[in-house]
Amino acid sequence: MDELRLHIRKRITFLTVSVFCILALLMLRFAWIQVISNSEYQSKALSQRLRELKVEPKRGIIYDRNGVALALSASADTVVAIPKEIQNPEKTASKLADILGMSEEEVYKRITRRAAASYVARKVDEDKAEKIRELDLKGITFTEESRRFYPRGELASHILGFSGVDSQGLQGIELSYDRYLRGNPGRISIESDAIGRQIPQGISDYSAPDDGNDIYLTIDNVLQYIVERELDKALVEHQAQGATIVMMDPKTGDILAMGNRPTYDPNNFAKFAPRLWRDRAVSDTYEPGSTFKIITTATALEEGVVNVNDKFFDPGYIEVSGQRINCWKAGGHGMQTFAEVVQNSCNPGFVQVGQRIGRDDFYKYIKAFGFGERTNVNLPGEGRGLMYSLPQIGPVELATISFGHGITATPIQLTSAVSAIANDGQLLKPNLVKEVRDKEGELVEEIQSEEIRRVVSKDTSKLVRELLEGVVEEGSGMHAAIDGYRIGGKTGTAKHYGRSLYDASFIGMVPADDPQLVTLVVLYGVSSYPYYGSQVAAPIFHNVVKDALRYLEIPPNKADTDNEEDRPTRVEVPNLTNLDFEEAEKVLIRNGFRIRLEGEGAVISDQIPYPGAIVDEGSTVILFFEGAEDKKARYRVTVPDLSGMEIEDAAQLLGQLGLRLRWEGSGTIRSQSPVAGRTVDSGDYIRVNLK
Amino acid sequence: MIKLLKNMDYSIPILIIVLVIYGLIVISSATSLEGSSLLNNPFLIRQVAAAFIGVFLVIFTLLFNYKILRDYSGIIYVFNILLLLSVLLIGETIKGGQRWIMLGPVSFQPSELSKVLIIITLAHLLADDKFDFKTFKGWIIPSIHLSIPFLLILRQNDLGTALVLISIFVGMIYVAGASGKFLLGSGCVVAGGSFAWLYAHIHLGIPIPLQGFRLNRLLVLIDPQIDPLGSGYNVIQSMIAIGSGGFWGRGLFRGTQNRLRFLPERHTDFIFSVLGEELGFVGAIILLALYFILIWKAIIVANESQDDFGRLLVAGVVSMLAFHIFENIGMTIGIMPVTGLPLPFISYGGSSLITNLLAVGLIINVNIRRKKLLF
Repeated sequence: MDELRLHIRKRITFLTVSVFCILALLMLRFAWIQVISNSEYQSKALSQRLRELKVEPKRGIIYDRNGVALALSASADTVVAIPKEIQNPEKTASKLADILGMSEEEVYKRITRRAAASYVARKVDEDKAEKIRELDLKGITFTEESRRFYPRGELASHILGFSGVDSQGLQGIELSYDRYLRGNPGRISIESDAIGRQIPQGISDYSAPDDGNDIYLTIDNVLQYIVERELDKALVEHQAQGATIVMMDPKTGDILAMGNRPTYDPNNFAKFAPRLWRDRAVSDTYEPGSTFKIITTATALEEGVVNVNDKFFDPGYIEVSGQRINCWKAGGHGMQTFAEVVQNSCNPGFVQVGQRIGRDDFYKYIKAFGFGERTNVNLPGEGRGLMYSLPQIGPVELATISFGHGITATPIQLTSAVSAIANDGQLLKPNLVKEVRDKEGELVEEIQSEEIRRVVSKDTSKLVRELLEGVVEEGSGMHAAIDGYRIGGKTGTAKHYGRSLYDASFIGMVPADDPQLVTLVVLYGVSSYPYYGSQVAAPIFHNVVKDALRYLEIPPNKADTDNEEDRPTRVEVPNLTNLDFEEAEKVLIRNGFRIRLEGEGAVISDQIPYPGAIVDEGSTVILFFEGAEDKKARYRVTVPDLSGMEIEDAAQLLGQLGLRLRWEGSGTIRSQSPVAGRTVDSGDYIRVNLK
Repeated sequence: MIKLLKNMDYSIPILIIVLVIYGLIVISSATSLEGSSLLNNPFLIRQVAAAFIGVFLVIFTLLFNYKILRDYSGIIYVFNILLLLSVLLIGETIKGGQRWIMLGPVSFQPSELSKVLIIITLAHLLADDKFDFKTFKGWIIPSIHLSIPFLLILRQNDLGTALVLISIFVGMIYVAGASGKFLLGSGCVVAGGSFAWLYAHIHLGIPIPLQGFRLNRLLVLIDPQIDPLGSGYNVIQSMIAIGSGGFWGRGLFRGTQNRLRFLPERHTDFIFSVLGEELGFVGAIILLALYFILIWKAIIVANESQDDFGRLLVAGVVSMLAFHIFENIGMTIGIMPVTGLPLPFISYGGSSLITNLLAVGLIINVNIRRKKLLF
């Protein structure tokens, strides 16, 4: 028995020990998860009961250099469904689909999603939101989101770009300055239970969003308007695939205006083909043609291989390595000085200049002027342009590059290269953005003008400008001339390879002795006659720069006034409708108008400008024959901003655009309809209220 | 009777009362609703009622010498089997287990009582005949004795209780003289084999012949993330609860896992998770200490018992309680598979509480009658 007792005692001790061991095991596990891993589990517990909602920051505003808003954010309602609370999904879906213009199945799918909340439609129009509110549907609520709005429509659309539905920049400045504009989202943390219901007295933490910064562009909205107006007109008067105008302040590198045609409306960017979103001025390259001769001229003078009075002979062609290069003028220019070579834009003359410079030096200068490299203007998708590598340049290549063929450049590249000459030889980085300011208006970043390198000397620059002045005064750039101003510039015409399409361009600077504006006008793929830069681009330059000078109040500084009589007199457009063509032609020629015809036939059915409009002598009148009225659509014009103008000025401006004016009251113009930026048919009435 | 009470180790009833009150506190937190007072919490009222019924039943049983149970052992065994059969015939199915019998307004879980009944009959069997556990023959009768109720309980889909029966059996035959090395060895073989099989299933796709949900409960033991919203959900939420409790706990009525209903079955099977969250490491250690002292005292009772029957009774009860504690707490901290075993004296549930009180009543009975009475 004792033995058995002992046996049992042993067993009982063993049992006690093993129970203790088991409990100790549990205890170790507690220590592990409760003491050592405590914080990890606490954060797990917290994260599964906190639902975080993002609060969208307000996107920064994009202003022009004077503080006029070009892109801003307004709040818009987003329709949200709370699927659990919806009582009759079919009926709700059909009602919503009606108002939102969506398919019923799609709405049904969205409002029956297995989620706490689901978007039905984001950033809907105010009237739609109002209608839905009136229905007072159970389980349908609204949240406010911000929606991007471009008050000036197409104005500067290629510079601004646009942003998407999540307020993310997608194009233009909206994209390249997205990190400034975007801001940082705030958040609301809501404590909720396992089923997702919010706890009334739970944690509810709100951190306000950090709104985006505002961007001040170097663009001036008035200059931009002038540019866009002329672009519209250019494509009315000429048949071309597109057009670009770039206007730059050569002393700072600020781009004052930059526009392209065709264009798009960033408010409805999705309705336009993506190729229209491209900013051709920055992204696309073209053959600069004779405008590039400015670079050749500057290089030759800087290197001292040419003097202004050096003589060149042009028999009408030049042979290079057995290849014959013709002058644009049949029979050639004969004997001419270097200044005359520039004025005449004589190709054989420039080939000889290029040969004097030599391949290596020329290549070095072309590079130094920034060709083949991005200007880093800070827009997305900038192009570099095509350029031969040094070993690829043989005698023929050297010859063609001398007059601007066999090299491509972006409009911004050419503008900044020529601006270097306007800026006494110093190449600047082109700027589009002046300042970044926060919501309180405090300066966050100021973009200073940035010198890249000195390309040519001050004296050379001055000399080149004088030669370019000659081009405008006596050479191919005559149509660019503006009374009272010294203008230097150069025309360019380049034929598309194998097609009857031409790139016509003009680049000029004003005033030539102390340039404040450098402006490039390019028309791409011109198919109508004339297609020369001197005939097509130079007059556009004239129009743009004349208005720009007046707006910028840059005083005339040219002493001679012998052009007084050349100043175009203003004439009234006669009524030509229902006349037969011959009669109409007679009337127009007598009054000094130029004529352009649309359609075929005998009797004139319509005309632009409308009868009675006051225009410059020598303006073009477009005549439409019976059945060609649909072509009028091509002549749609953008309504200008008339506010603050005197009635006479407004009438004149509208007349030039082919629009008519109706007014009420007296004084200066207070409001107008349609508003500025709207596109209307030529000949439409613009109503204004005066005060 | 008074004299008998003088023999009593009062620490045992005091421990039980403390445990029951501890349980009531945690239940009140696990079941309280916003804005309603403790006094009209139906769970609390029912648990208190069950505790009183249990205590009265225990006092009643103490009037009788536990030895008279031996005279009714056969009847008890037959009654036990009839009880389990009746569940299969007229039982209600709740959450996949057919375990309940409705007696008017009171529902009753026979498998709870069955555990105590099997302890009594097995103790009688083992105390009566000396089995030689060194031979295969010695195992036959006790094994058959166990297997009938065991299979009936398995038939009710109650794997947890079936495992309790095995642990009771193992504990009692060990005290009755079976080789410890053999039991330990076979235990390790079974546990190791199961784990190896599970690993093979997960990583090599070897099939396991078990019902889907039961298999998942085993699989999530190895990795709860296999089924985080199904079988793994309970374990994940329970571990978050206990882990976030930290050293001192988040305070009674202040555990977010509990209050925000992330925890499933928080007043019954997963009550320990509430305790761990709200009372922390300290609360858990206090509970384990209470259990340990109870079991330790019970083992002393067994040691001092007058006869082998008493010793085996206590051994059975200790095995039952120990397995319940280990399995229940183990599953809440992810080291045991999820089964529906309640935590003794703490989990809400009348059948379980009354059964456990009766079982401890047996220990007290053996305790107060440990010495031959000197008249």
